[in-house]
Amino acid sequence: MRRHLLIALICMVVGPLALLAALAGKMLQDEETLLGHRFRELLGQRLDDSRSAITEVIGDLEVELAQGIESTPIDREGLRAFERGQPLVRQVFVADAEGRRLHPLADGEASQDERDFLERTRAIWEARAELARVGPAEGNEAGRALARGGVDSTWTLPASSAGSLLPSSASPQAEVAQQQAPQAVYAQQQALPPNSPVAGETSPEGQVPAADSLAGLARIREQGWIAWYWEEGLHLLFWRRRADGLIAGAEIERAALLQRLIAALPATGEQASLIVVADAQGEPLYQWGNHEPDDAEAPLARLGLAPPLEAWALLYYGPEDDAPLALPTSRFVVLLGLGATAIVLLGLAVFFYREWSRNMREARERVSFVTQVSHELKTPLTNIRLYAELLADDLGGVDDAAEERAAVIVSESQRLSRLIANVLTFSRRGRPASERARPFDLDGLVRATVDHFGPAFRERGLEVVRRGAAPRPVLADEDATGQILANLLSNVEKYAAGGGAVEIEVEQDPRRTRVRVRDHGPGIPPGLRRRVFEPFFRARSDLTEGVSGTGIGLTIARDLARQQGGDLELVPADDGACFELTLPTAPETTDPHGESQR
Amino acid sequence: MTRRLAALAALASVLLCAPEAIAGSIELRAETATPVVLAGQMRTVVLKVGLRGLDIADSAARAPINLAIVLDKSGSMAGEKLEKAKTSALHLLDRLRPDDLVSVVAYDGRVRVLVPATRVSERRRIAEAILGVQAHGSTALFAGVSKGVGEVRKFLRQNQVNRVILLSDGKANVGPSSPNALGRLGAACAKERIAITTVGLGLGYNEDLMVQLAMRSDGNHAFAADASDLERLFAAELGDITSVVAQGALVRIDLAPGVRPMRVLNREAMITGRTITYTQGQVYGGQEKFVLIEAEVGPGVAGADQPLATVTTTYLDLLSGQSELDRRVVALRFTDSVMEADAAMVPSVLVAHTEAIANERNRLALDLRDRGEVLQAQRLLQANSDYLDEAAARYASPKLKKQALDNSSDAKNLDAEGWNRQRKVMRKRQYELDVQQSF
Repeated sequence: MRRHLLIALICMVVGPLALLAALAGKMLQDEETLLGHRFRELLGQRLDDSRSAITEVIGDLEVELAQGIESTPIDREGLRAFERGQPLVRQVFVADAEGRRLHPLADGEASQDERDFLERTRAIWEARAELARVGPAEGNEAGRALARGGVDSTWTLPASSAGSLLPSSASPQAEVAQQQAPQAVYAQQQALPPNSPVAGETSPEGQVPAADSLAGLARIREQGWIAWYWEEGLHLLFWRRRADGLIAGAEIERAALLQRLIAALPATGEQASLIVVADAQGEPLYQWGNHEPDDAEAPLARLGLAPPLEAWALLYYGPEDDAPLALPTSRFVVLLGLGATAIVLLGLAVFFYREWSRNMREARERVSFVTQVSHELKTPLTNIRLYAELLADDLGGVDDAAEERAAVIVSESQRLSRLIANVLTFSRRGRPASERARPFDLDGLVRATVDHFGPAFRERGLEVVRRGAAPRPVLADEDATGQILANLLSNVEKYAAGGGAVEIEVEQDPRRTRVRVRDHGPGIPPGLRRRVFEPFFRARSDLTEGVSGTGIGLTIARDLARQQGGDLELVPADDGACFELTLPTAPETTDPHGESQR
Repeated sequence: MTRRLAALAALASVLLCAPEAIAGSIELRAETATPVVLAGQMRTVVLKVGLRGLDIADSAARAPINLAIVLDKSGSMAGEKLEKAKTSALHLLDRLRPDDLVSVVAYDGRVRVLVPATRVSERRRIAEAILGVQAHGSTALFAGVSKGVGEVRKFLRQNQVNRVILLSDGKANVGPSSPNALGRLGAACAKERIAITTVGLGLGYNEDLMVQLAMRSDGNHAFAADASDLERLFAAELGDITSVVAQGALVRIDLAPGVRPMRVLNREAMITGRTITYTQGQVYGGQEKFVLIEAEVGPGVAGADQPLATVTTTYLDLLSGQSELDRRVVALRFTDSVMEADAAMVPSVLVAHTEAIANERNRLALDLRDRGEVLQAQRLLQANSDYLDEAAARYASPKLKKQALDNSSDAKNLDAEGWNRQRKVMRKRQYELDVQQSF
């Protein structure tokens, strides 16, 4: 009982707490996600500022180059002078509308730098098929992958410049036609000096028309970027379709561009974080801020740069506690709430438990008192009974009236004995039953008990009808069984005297023996059938009014029956109440007298 | 007879080379080692083209300076190095004029702009920033220089000397860090007339990178083995900066038909057909910086005069603020007489040529030593020393004599333990000879 209560109380405390904790956890998690999201958004915004600075540099560069390209006279001297004056230009090139390269040409007039440029950009001039194939989406990835793989002559068209608009007109026929077109105008091939280093390799290049896909692009767009990888990393080429239809462009001086970007980006000051501009391999090109990330530290945010530098990215590193400040406070509040609820629930549980314990103790004390008193009553009562019986014997045949009075004393003292026996049995409830089962003759016990009640039944006009018999003994405690039967008959006497008869039916099979005690009194309403075995329960107050009783008779009876491996049940009956006592039949082997007694 | 002929030839060459007029503050010099050559055979002639700035008498007349000091403050600079660097920088400040611009950038793995471009008149603020520098961290050299250049670019004007002084004692390890990458940055800066002077401190820096950066941007390069050298080097550097008389000199040498260019010594130049062009970012007053061109000349007819080259230069004269143009024509004369040819030889050009060739060989020896071929490098240096000795005796040139001694000393110092230092010494000397640096 105590254990059940404890478990119930624990459930009462833990259940709601667990539920609350789960809800709070979910809420906190949601909040954390939200804050994390907001934090990342904030970081993204910070990175976005830096990206804007870079985009601005690129934008200025585009404008500067576009103007320069438009205004430069297309002759070698003019182009070279343009190169000399532009820190961001490493090499300029010019092609005609069909994409045939006009400058630089690898002829005798070419400088070493120009030859180097043609070598660097050979992919662009030769690999026209590739140029057409590299799409906007895969271009970037392919470039990165190849860069990682160390292929140095790879190039790609970033999304911005290529678009998805590569001309479908670059059909094989067109290509062939262009290859076969007369090159007289552009074949400014001269006899190269014998010691010219690349004369042999590059001399055919002067005649080969340049990549027609560049021309194709120029048909659709006015200007754009081409990115490719060479030796130290990303190289950029800016091209523009001039007003006169020529395509001119410039290779960007990588170091100078980087210098401009670094100059445009913030220097290290008091920033607690660290922002890194990283190349395609993740190597830092420039960084600012005071945070010192560990080797394994992952960036809190990452933002790719805008084309044509989309291979590069901005990475944000920062101290973690720079992150959401609101979170700890809300977590604290939630924990506080949970704690308070837990304390209140625990307090309630403790309160209930103490109340219950107190009640239990008081009840135990009362029971103990009653038990003691009952014990004290037992001895004088036995004496009273003994002497009353002796008195009745003495008066037998001498004085009938006196004998009858003595019989009443006996009967009443017997009733009192039963009461006390019940009280004592009840006080032993819950303790293990003493092992006193042994085979005995049930019929004899029933007869004795009925005889016992004989005077009382006669007085109330109750007729006892016995049916059936138990030819074999039952295996049970005889005293306890007697007490059960006495309790049942006592109930009949008390509540069903009006029924006029009580039927006692015994039935036996090899395993079970049943005793049914049935009266024809008011019976027990169906709704209360279950509860009649509960202690201190009395079926109907109107019925029990004026009837004495402790309300523990049936409880004790059932307990006793069960302790002996049997049971006591209320079975449905047409009228009145019918109780059925089941007891185990004694096995044949254990009872050699069974046969003889039959 | 021959003497008279020789004198005539000399006169002719002087006349032909004579300046048309000295218009600006640069004197354009162009002369060949052999104004008179033997006819009837292919020949290689050496043409020396140099720019010499006029001495500035009045220091108040010098062009304003826009200077960025880029200090390495990586962990290795801690202690005396950084302290000396700070005091040297402060002394530099003292010698600038109040209207000059100065910015101070310090870098380790990150870059701090300690003083954005500011007038020197705010000396206290600048000094405080310099003195507050503390050494710590790694070396983001590229980014440091980039920020320095960025500060100079903020106030980029035509008539001023733009200069970044980089002081580093370590190898770049954050961001681009190859000599080539830094060289490209230098080249881009040169186009805007921003020169970068690199000062290597101690034995930890990458001399190739520092030399490339200085060379491509047309700055100076110095090697301070010890921090105590810094003050002297900074002073010498400032001497150069304050003596700049012209900037962005573009020199174009058009060789005459029949003359084929073979190579250009001492400076990077662009050869396109028969035209050679190179730029010299800064022309210092009182200093001549020259290149040597080797060209092949076809067989001529004795007695004939033939133009060799036309040399043109355009530059921005900082004293007048004007763009100036200057032109020289160099001619050759063919003869049958060996004596006449020999007599007409110009020793100073021959000395310069010998010097440049020996310098090339010194470079080659360094490459050999880099590849681990110590013995061959040693042999080459010794041969170089002998070659220089002989020439020194022939032309009675103490300069060549000194170079011979340097080479023989190089030959003795190729062993592993001293190599790091020796390599820096050699690179520095090679660069010094290439650009005829004054310190």
